[in-house]
Amino acid sequence: MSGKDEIARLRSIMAAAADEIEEHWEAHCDREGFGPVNLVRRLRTGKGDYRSRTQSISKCGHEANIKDSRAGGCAMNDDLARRAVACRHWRWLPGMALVRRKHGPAGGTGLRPTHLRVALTGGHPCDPFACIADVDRLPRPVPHDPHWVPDLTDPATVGALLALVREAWEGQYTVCGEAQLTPEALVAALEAAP
Amino acid sequence: MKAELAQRAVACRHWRWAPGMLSRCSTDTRRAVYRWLVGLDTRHYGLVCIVQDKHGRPCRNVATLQPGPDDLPDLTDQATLGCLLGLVRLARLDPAWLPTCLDGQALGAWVVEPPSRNRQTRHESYASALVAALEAAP
Repeated sequence: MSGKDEIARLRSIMAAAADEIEEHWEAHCDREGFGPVNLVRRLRTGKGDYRSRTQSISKCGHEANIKDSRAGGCAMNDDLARRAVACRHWRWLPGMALVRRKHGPAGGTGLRPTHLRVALTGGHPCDPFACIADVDRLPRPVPHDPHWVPDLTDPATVGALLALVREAWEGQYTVCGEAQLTPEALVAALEAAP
Repeated sequence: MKAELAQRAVACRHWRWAPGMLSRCSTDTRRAVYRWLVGLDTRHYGLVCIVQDKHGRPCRNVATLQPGPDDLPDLTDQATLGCLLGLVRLARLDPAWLPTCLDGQALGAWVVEPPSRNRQTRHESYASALVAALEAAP
């Protein structure tokens, strides 16, 4: 078999592998909703500087640690954030950070959670929106997408959540201990507000 | 009083602008209200961006600015207070630290160190307790 034939055979195997992964995309996603996007891209294009896992880890260890710590917080707060958004007293406040946890079914774009922050709020009374800004400095409305949730690991978001709780309890909620300022306690208080 | 408190906060050595904070600048030559959105962004200029003008309206001409010497944090803004609490916890190396509220929201009811009942160490608001804690952080 010539070199060209061998390359063609390997490329057909790569394409078949990419197809199979995409057909069962959900099965390849972790609980955060992240799938092997880079792998599929490399299988499709045949490009990319592949390193062994050990080399990759040694080079990207710092970034991985940051990502892991962030992802751990994400996993812990994901359900909590959804509960917060589901509360009738919930609304987006300026300063809150948003994060998109999941990227939907196969073909979803994006490789990692996208972090945005609410800049100001306003809009039509029947359809309130929050103007948000991302790292590209582009204001845009908060998308009507249940996958966008508040980032409860962000201090500004927790501070704004406390304001919502105080408002819901009409000033009766006071911070008297650490237990009352954890995201869990604040979301529970928001849910229990009259 | 609010401006004085904000100046004390900015003067602390542990102070830094954090994403989500609201700043106000009110001088003879300049008035502005900014929401610091991005924080330190090393990919660009190490700065923050603004999409809110002095009237609180969307500012489409998004500018990128370094925090100026006249910019002060708005300590009535809850997101800013949340960031300030985060700074205090970082400075004190205590992720669970919180000022203690003695008598609800009453004046003089906040203390930085829980066991103290000394009137001298009481603070009239949550914000002033946070600033005092930031100043006292080692």
